[in-house]
Parts: sequence; C-alpha cells; structure tokens
Amino acid sequence: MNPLATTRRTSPSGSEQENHMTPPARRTPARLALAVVALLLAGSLVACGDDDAATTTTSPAGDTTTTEAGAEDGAPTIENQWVRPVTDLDAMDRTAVYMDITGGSSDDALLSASVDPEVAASVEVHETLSGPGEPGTGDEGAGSGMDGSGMDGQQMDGQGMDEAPVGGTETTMPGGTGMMTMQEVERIDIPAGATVRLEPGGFHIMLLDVQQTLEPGDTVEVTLVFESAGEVVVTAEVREP
Amino acid sequence: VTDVAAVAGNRRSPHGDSPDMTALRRPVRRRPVLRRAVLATLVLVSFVGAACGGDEGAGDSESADYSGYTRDPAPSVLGVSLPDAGGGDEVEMSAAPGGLRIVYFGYTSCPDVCPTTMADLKRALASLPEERSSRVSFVMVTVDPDRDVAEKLDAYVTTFIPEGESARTEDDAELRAAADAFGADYEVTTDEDGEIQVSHTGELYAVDGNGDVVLQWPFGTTAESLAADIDRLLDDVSFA
Repeated sequence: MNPLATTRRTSPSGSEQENHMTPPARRTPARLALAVVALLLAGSLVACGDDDAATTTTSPAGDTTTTEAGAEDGAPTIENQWVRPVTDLDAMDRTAVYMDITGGSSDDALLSASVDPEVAASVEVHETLSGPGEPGTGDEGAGSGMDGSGMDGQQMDGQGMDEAPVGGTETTMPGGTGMMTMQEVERIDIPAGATVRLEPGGFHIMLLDVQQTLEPGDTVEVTLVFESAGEVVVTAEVREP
Repeated sequence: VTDVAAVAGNRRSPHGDSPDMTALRRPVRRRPVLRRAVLATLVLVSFVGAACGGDEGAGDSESADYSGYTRDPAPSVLGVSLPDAGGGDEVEMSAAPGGLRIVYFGYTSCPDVCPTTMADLKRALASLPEERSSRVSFVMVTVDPDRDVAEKLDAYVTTFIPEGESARTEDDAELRAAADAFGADYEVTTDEDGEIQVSHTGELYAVDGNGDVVLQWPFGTTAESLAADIDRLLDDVSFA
C-alpha cells in the first residue's frame, strides 16, 4: 500500500478539516465511512469521465444530519451555510459565502444572491477554476470548467475538497503552474435531488465592498434567487473555514 | 524516510519512488483523466487505510511521505528578493540558515483561494510547538500591486500570519522574474465590464536556507498535511 495512505488526510470539506484537529472519537469511524463512500462516488465519476453531475446525497461534513434529497415543496434545501470572516476592513473588503444546496423535486438553478447593503455593497456568484490549462489539454481537466456553465463544470467542482489537491496537482506537475482564476457565473445548476457544494476553491457567493466587519459568531442573512423556486433566505454563520 | 537533503541533492520529488506518481508523469493521450483516476485511487487508498488502520494512521508522519511535492530539478530562488510592502527593505525569498521560508503569490481582493490557503497555513503553524513554528517565516508577494497598496497588503498578511511579511513591486519585470524563479505564474487583466480579473498560482512554496524550493503544496492541501510536512522539513533543514 502506498505510504501516502497514512498521512494524506485529504478532506472532503473545510469543516471536516477542523474536525480532524479534535475528532470526537466515537464518530470518527462513521465519518471515515461516509468519506470513503463520498470519495468512492467522486472517484468513480472522475475515473470514468462520467458526464453526470458529481453529486453526493450525504454530506461527510454534515454536522449531525443527513441530507435527504428532495424537499417536500420542491424547493432546494440549504445546509452548512457559512461566511468567511472579515475582521479588518483595511485588510480585505471582500469575502465569500459557502453552502450545500440540495435540489428539490425538479431541476433548478441558482441565479443570484443578495445581502443587506449595510453588510456588502454588491454580491456576485463566482466560480474558482484551475487554469489557464496546459496547452493542448484545454478540453480536459482544467479546461472542462472554463465555460462556467453546464454540468461539466459542476462535475469538476462538486466533489468536495478532495478534488482541489487533485486538480491542483494535475496542473502543477512539471509543465504546469497551478494557476487558479475566479470568474462570475450566470447560474449554478441544481439538479433535482442532487447536492451541489459551494465551497473553497469552487463555487462561492462573493460579497464585494464589505461594509462592516464580520466576526466569527456573527450571522448574515443571504437571499438566494432560484430559477424555479424563487427566493430562499438563509442565515449563514460567520466562522473560520 | 526521505530526508530533505536527499530530496534537494538529488533534485527528486519525495514521491519519486512511488510507481503511482511515476505513472502520473507518463505522457499519455488522456493524461488528465488518467491522473485523476490514479489520484482518486490514492485518495481512496488513503481513506481506506485510515479507516482500516484505526489509530495506526495517526501521528506517524515520520514514516510517511510528504503531501507536497518538489519539481525536478528543484527551483532555486537563491538571491531572489523583492521590496517589502513599504518599499523600504528588500525581502529575501530564501530562508535564514536552519529555517524554512514559506512564500505565496496572491492578492488581497481574493475572497476564496487566498484566504483558504492563508487560513490553512495559519492553522498549520498554530498546531506546531512554538520552537518549531518560530523557525518558519512567511512572505506573501502580491501579484496585484496596483490595488494592493502597502497598508492593505500588510494588514491582510498579518490578519492571518502575525509575523508574516509582504513583498510588493510595481516593476512588472521584477515581479515576473521572481515568479519565474519559483515556477509561479500570474495574470491581471481587465475584462470588457472593467472588472479586474486575477489569475495566479495558488500554491505555497517552502524554501530552505540554501534558496532551494524544497517542497510546494497545491491549493487545497489541508492544514494537517501542511503541518506534518513543515514539521518534517524542519527536522531536515536543521542540517542545512
């Protein structure tokens, strides 16, 4: 077995990382099992180049609950929403909101988001991409998410944090530079019953011209606008990743 | 156990002995897919190993491989320096003897990638004993000097790494030369809407006292992996 086996704690999500610091012992096996399942799903999708959206029906990072696909009223459900802190407005005036969005009974799409203008002057939906890709491989790997739309792009970005080192390594092997870029997207497709993660290094809701410090423990009300379900308001906690 | 002197001396990746990693570099037609498959397998194996190994997997970083990787040959940044954010002193990219210098090319108007990496590094350093972390220095080089004025850049860096340094030059040739020395890249463009778009290498570089980039970490490397790698590197660079 590869020696990486014992240290490569590649984590499916930011919150999972924190849990590794002081994992509650009794829950660790369950978490690992969930992670293995999620990674199996992700791995098989990646390995096969499957065109289906990369989705997980359970969240390894989920606090105690399991994400069940399909809300009663058909609207997408939101979980694990959080906002990156802004503790010094002189240091940064932008931050990001992350969450897991699970599609309801029919396909939907996140079109835009907003917050109180006293929190941030404007809000955009963004995606971080690996790229520009290596010459000659622009149609694969780093290039597959470059258009920022459609299922292919989501496949690249919906797989949790484990995808980030993988993608990064891919473009940073000799000949690559691990370039990353961020761009606004018009929509994030939310297939029925599928969970799309907005997470570091992937999709995120960007708050621009932040007007007030956002300390850990604060909350921010975020209004999400879906194509079919309309407005959904969520309260996101400010916390460290 | 690969020691860093061997890594630097042989200009070889710590993963160089692994057949799996060798496979990653084999030029094949659908390289990205193969790489992803192999890497996904590695990740799977790691989790299976962790799940099955119980407590064995914890805390044995000494016998395990690095999470980061090196280039072949390892880049040398010996003698490379840039002005500090205030434009007063030069900031060396090499570590002090026996120390480790971690270098990042980023920008402050970056709400996703940069703060993720900075927060992970912050947690990694915080998890190490003080006598270890005190041997590690950090410098962030801005790739967006037009917007990253000195005060903002300094404040940004120290928000995450209190002792962190920042480097900034408006001379793009100088910045480009420094980035090239690391194998880093960046691009700042303005789109048709007037929005500034920044691309940059989202990696952390570890430099030893000889100016060798002994290890680098892709975006998304966890704080735990960073800490384990830094801890091991410190054992090795003490002999540099």
